[in-house]
Amino acid sequence: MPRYQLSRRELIEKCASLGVVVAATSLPISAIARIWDESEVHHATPPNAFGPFYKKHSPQRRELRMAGDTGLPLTLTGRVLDTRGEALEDAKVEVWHADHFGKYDIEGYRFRAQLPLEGKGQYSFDSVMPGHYPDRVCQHIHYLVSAPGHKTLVTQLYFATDPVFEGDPDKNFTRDPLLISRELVRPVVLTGDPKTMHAAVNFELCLERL
Amino acid sequence: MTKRCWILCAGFLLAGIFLSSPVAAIPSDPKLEARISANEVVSSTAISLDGKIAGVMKGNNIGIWSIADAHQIQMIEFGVEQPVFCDFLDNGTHLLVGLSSGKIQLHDAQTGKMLRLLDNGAPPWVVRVSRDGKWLAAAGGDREVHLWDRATGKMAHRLALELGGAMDLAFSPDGKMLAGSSEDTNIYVWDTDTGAVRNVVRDLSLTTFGLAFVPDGKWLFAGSGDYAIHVIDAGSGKVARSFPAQKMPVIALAMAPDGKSVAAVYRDANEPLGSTPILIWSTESGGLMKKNDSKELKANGGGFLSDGRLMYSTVSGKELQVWSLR
Repeated sequence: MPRYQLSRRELIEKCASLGVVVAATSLPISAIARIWDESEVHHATPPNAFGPFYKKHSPQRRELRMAGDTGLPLTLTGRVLDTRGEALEDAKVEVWHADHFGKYDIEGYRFRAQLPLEGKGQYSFDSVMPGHYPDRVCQHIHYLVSAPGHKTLVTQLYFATDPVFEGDPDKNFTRDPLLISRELVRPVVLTGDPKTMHAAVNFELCLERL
Repeated sequence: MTKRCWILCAGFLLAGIFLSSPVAAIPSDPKLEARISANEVVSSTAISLDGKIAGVMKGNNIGIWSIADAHQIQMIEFGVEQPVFCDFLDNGTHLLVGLSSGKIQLHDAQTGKMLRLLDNGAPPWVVRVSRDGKWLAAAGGDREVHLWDRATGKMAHRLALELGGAMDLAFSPDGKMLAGSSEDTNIYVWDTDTGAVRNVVRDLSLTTFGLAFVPDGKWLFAGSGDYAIHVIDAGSGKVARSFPAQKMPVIALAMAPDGKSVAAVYRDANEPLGSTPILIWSTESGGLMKKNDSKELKANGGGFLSDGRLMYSTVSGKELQVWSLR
C-alpha cells in the first residue's frame, strides 16, 4: 500500500473538506492553512564560500577523529530538511575541514567525509575542533549538501567559542570577511573537565526547493 | 585559504601566453632587473609583455613603474575601493584593473587616466582578454563567469559553474573557446560565440589554479591542487597525460609563446606566505627543463615576455625585485 505524506497545509485542507476541522474565524480554510504553513517556514541555511580545498571522492564515514589525533574532540549533529521543515532523507552531506593545527590534508582524506544519514535526515560525526588556517580569520567546517529537487547548499559552520569573537560573536562575527551571516556561528556545548573536555555543536541544514 | 590569495597568485605568469616569438633555451640563472621600494605589502604585480613596465598593486592603489630605472611613472588611486586584479593589455599601453566593488576599469598605462568602465557585479578576481581583443572574461562571483564583448562593453554571456567560483580562466588562441576552472574541481570549456558548454573536465579531484592553452588550441594545460600539471584534450575534455607530481600544489601556469615549454609556480597549500618554486617543463616530453626552488623565492607576478624571457617579481621585505630568466 503506498504511503502518502501530506504537508501540514494539505492536512488542514483535507480535514476541513471532511468536516474534521471547522474554521472558527471568518477566514477561509485555505487562508488559515496558508498562515499555518507560513508559521512553519524554516529559513534556508545561508550559503558561504566554497573554498579551494574541496576534494572529490571523500570516503563515507562518520568517524573523522582517529586515536591520537590532537585537538578538542568535537561532535557535530543536525538534520537536513527543507524550508517546510520536512526531513530530506535522501540528502547527501559532505564535510571537510582543517586539522587542529589549521592544515588541510591535500594528499589524503583526513577530516574529509561523506556522511551517512541516520534516518529522518539526521546526521552526526565525530572530529576535532579545526584550527585556524593561516589565511583565514575563523575556525570553520565546510559543508556541501544536496538533495533531489532542492538547491545544492555550499556553506560553512563557525564556532561561537572561536577566540576571534572574544566571547561576543554578535558583535565580532564580521572580523572574518568571508563570514557574512551571524546565523552560521553556532553555539558550542562544552562538557567534561579540562582533561576530558568534549565539544558538541548542532547545525541544521535547510535547503531551498528548486 | 581565501579565494583572493589563491587568485592573486593564480593570475601570475599569464601575460605572454599568446605571442609567437620562440622561447630560447634557459641555461642561465635569474638576472635581477630592478629593485622597487614598495613601502607596504605588495599583493600582486603585473609586467608588460615588452618587460618595460610593472604594475604594482598594494592597498588601494596601483603604481606603474619603469623597470629599467626603477622609476615610478604613475600612481592610480582607487579611494575606498580595493584593486583585486591587474594586468597589462595591448602591448603595455593599457592597464586592466578589477576592483572589489565589482567594477572593471581600463586605464591608460602612461597617464593613469580611466578610459573604460564595466560593472561586473561581483569582484573580478581573475580577468582575461582574448588574443584578438574581442572578448573579456571575468570571474563573476559564485557559480558564474561573465563574458563581455570588449567593443560594445556589453555582457555577452553569463557562463554557469556547477558549484563554487572560478579560480582561473584562459582563452584559446583563436578566441573561440574559454576554459574556466572552478572550486568544485571541474574545468569548463565554453564556446565563446554561443556561451554553450563544449565539455566539462570532471576527472580531477582537486581544484585547478592555473590554466593555459598551447598555441594551436588543441591542448589545455591545467595546474592542479594535486601537485601535478595535467594535459587535457581541449576537444574531448579528457585528461591525456600528467606531468610528475611535485610536493606542492601548482598555483599558476604560463605557456611559453612557442608552446614548447610551460612555467609552473608551486606553493604549499597550508603556507600561503611560503616560498614559490618555479619549474619550467617541456610541453612535448614532460621533462623538467629548469628549476628555481630557492626557499627565498616568493613570486607574486610576472609572465613570459614577447622576446621569450620569463620575467617575474618577488617580494623581499618591503622591496619588490624584478627578475628575468632566459
